[in-house]
Amino acid sequence: MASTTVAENARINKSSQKQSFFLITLKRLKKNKLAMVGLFFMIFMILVSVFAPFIAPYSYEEQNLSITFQTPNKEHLMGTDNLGRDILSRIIYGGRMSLRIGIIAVAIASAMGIFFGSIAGYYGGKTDNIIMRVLDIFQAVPPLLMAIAIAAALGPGIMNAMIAIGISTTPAFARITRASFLNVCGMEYIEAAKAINATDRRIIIKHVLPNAMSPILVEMTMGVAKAILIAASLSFIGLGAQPPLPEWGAMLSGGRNYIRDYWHIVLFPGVTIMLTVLSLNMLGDGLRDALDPRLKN
Amino acid sequence: MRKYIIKRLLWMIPVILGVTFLVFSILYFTPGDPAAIKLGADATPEKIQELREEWGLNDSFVVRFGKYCYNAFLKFDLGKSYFNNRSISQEIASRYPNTLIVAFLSVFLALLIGMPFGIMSAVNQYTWKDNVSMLFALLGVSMPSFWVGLMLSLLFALKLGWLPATGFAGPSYWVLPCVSIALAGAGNIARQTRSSMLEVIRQDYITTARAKGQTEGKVIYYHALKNALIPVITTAGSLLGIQLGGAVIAEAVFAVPGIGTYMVSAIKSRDYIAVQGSVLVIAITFSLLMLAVDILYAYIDPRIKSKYQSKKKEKHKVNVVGKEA
Repeated sequence: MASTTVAENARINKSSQKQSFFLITLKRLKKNKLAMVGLFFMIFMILVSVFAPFIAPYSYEEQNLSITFQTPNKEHLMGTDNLGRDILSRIIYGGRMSLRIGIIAVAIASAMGIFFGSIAGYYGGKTDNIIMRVLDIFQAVPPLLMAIAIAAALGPGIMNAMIAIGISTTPAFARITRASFLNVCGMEYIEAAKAINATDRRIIIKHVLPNAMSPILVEMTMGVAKAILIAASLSFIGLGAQPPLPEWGAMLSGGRNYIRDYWHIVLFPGVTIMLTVLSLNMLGDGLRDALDPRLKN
Repeated sequence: MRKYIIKRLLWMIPVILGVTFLVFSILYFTPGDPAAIKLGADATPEKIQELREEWGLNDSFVVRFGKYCYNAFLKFDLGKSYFNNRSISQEIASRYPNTLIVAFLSVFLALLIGMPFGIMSAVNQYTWKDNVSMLFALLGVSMPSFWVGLMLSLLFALKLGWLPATGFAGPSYWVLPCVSIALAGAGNIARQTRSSMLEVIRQDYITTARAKGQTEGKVIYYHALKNALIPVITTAGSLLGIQLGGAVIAEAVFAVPGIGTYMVSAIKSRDYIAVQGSVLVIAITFSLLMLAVDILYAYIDPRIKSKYQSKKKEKHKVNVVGKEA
């Protein structure tokens, strides 16, 4: 009986602690108007993408050659493209593609980056040296170029674009994780964990990582923004999403030949990319301030 | 000091070899046989085999990599294009200056636009000036540069007719591609300048400078900016790498005859050896530039310089003490 209450208490304590960290961050984030605007816009974009079939007035591949190149009007709020497809609907469905690429690419990059970064930061010494030197080599190739090379090798397609972006942005995550680990590993509670003979794996996952997470979270938010931009660039040169899939960068690439007479084909997808990336960046900036211990109170 | 530079230069050798290995192996595992692609669907297996032999595709990975390195670094020969059999080195050499012009000019522009805004923001922290310029910086960072390029060319070339839309025949052709990738860089620089200025402004020696009655302008430009510049230079250095990558895309928009257009057309014709050569050349340029930035630091930042020298002196001291003992 007594043991269950202790366990229960521990559980309650733990959950309230977790919640309070989240709540404190949210509370401080709430004071930052730009960050809240960014957060709400992202929630809006995610909802729109999830419920795309219910929101979009037309299908993204529905062609109607009798209404090509319509400028924005009541029936087609953002006009139609060279095949008579409704641009608004394509942007709404395109959100699914672009957000998915951004989120999965960051998931790949952060998983690999955190893995290598934590090993480098925790063990230090030779392990650290070897990992960091390999990262130096990776970072000698600009990320966009690296993504282009990998995507070119894997061939065009969304899945390959995600992998390419994920790999090319991994070094940034590894570096940030390492730096953050170096800070946390000097703390007394890590020493305490080592003193009670906890395994390295347990210390890394249970003790260091949760406390080293703040800068990684910020980088993840900004990383989604970067990934969306790189994905758009890849699609633009024909390596990302393939027609008729409505990825935002691919829409720009498809519309650029008609820019002289029909500006709206190129304007709206670009503005959508800009707003999405902008709100992610604002959210990331806000998170950085909210999570910064120096700025507490 | 010299020891540091030599150490950094020697470290470049494994980095460059590593980059070559990386790029080579990424494109080595590309599915599809370039010989079969070149000869088309109705080629006989014997012919394909013959061409594979001629291009050295039948050798093992290690042999091919060794040959590639040997040719690339000792003869500056990046091989012949699978697509049109021209020398890749020559193609790149004739195009690369254009890419470098775009990249360097855009970084220069980015510094020119970004730094004043960053300084203004930091000096007027939390005022409307700060908010507006940071919002613009954030906007700059958030726009895809090729889209900015499209929009600028729509406005200034197609609607107003002030500037040429495509080509690269003179300085007036440089404006649009440079500006379109400089905007993102300017945003980056402005944000970096602001945060490093803010850090410096809170230091004691700034208070001292003000206390002794120094004019505010001199405090900002002479005392603060000088010390805030180091992170800005790093940003500018890594920006060059980003711009070299961004230039690839911007060139595709403005039809600049640079390495980017070459690369994009090579990707489209599945001419991977040309892609490999282009990526390699850009990566090596970038690592050399970063090396230059690192060495530049050691010269301009007395803190780094003294750190290195004091270490040496300390060692010397220890040696002397050790001998005496």
